[in-house]
Amino acid sequence: MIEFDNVSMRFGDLSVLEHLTLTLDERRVAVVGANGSGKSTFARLLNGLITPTEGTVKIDGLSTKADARAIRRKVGFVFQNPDNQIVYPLVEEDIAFGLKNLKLPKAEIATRVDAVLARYGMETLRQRSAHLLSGGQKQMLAISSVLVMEPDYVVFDEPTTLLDLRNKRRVAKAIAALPQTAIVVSHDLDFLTDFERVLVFEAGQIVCDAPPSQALPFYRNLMAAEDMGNV
Amino acid sequence: MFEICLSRITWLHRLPAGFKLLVLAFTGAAVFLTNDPRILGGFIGFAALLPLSAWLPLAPIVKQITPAATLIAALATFHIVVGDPVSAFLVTARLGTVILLAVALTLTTRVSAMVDALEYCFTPLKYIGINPAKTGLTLSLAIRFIPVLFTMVTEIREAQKARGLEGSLFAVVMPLLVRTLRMADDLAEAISARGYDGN
Ligand SMILES: Nc1ncnc2c1ncn2[C@@H]1O[C@H](COP(=O)(O)OP(=O)(O)OP(=O)(O)O)[C@@H](O)[C@H]1O
Ligand SMILES: [Mg+2]
Repeated sequence: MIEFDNVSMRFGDLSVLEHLTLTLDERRVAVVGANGSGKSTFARLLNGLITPTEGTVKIDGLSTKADARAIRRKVGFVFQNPDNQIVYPLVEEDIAFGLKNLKLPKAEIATRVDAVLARYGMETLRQRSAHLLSGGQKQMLAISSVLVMEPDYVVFDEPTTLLDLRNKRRVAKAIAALPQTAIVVSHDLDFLTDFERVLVFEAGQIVCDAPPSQALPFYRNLMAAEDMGNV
Repeated sequence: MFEICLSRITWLHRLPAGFKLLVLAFTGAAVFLTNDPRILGGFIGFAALLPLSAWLPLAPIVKQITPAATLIAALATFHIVVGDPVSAFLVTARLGTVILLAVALTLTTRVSAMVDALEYCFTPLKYIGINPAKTGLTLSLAIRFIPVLFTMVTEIREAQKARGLEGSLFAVVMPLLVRTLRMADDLAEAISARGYDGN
């Protein structure tokens, strides 16, 4: 369970989130909103990449501030650009990176890397150079490198933005099949229709919190209304 | 650059990474400690035979030594032009030895294995305030991001060409700088999100 208790986030003078209080216990939560509305800030608060200026964020009762290390293990994070999160030149080396940080024995690392590669159909890529993979393969590698850590929650910040349609589908399918709780920030509204709950951000506020059947039309209208105002 | 060949595992692959690094380091020092053309001839012969003896594929070797070979050829030509063929041989043998060995090493050794070996070598450095794990990570990141940077430069140059700015160095360096800094920020976050805390 994710709990935001009166959370505010400021960067210097800029206030990005204001007095946010909410509880999430759905398995699929989507976050949508205009550029700069605070989605990434919200996402980064979830695994303690940043900690709130005010208030507390708790995941299963653990505070992102006080229990930073436990939170990192509990909450995985997948970024928009896989190029900026792949650390090692070879696919299998990169997947092993997080496990090495946990100082796991070599044999266990190997078993877990094998399992993840098999699960995501990447056995044939295991010894390929990461920079020679396609965009979709790179994003699947980035996702695998996070999932191998067996987090309970996975936060995705625009995981499909840089991908073509086929790869968007592939990644969306992989996310849909996850046993974990997933919180997905996305501009690809088509992939959010099966989610349980959608948060619509606007200027640091949640202006709609509803299932996709209501929230997605609301968001489309919101964007269209702003369009009209700007002509 | 830094391609590794894993299509066929040879005896060179099986040697421990630390041992290979040591051989490279010692040979690299040794070739500069002698001026005897016969000894240097022996060194370059050894360096050339090593990849051959393991039947490493020639194509990636040629690809990797070509840039350096051009440089060596230029240096050697210079020495020959100024009438010093012995120096031409010495410089070819010295640099050639180091480069051939380096290529044999990178073609048969995983970056993670090299980093582990180096981290081990760096362990004593922790007493003078250098973190061996961080040094190792820095090294693997440098290797991983060289091709990424090359791609970036190509992309930016194409974009600037499309805008008719191909002559401007500034128009390439500025966006490159901005993108590199952003990438570094993202990367730092991604690394800590994956549980890295520098120990
Ligand atoms: N580290 C930071 N320092 C200063 N300002 C920041 C920082 N991170 C975010 N901001 C600002 O906070 C605001 C919200 O940013 P955020 O990245 O959360 O938006 P977003 O909804 O993810 O936008 P996008 O759709 O473009 O990704 C922006 O105005 C941004 O400039
Ligand atoms: Mg964002």
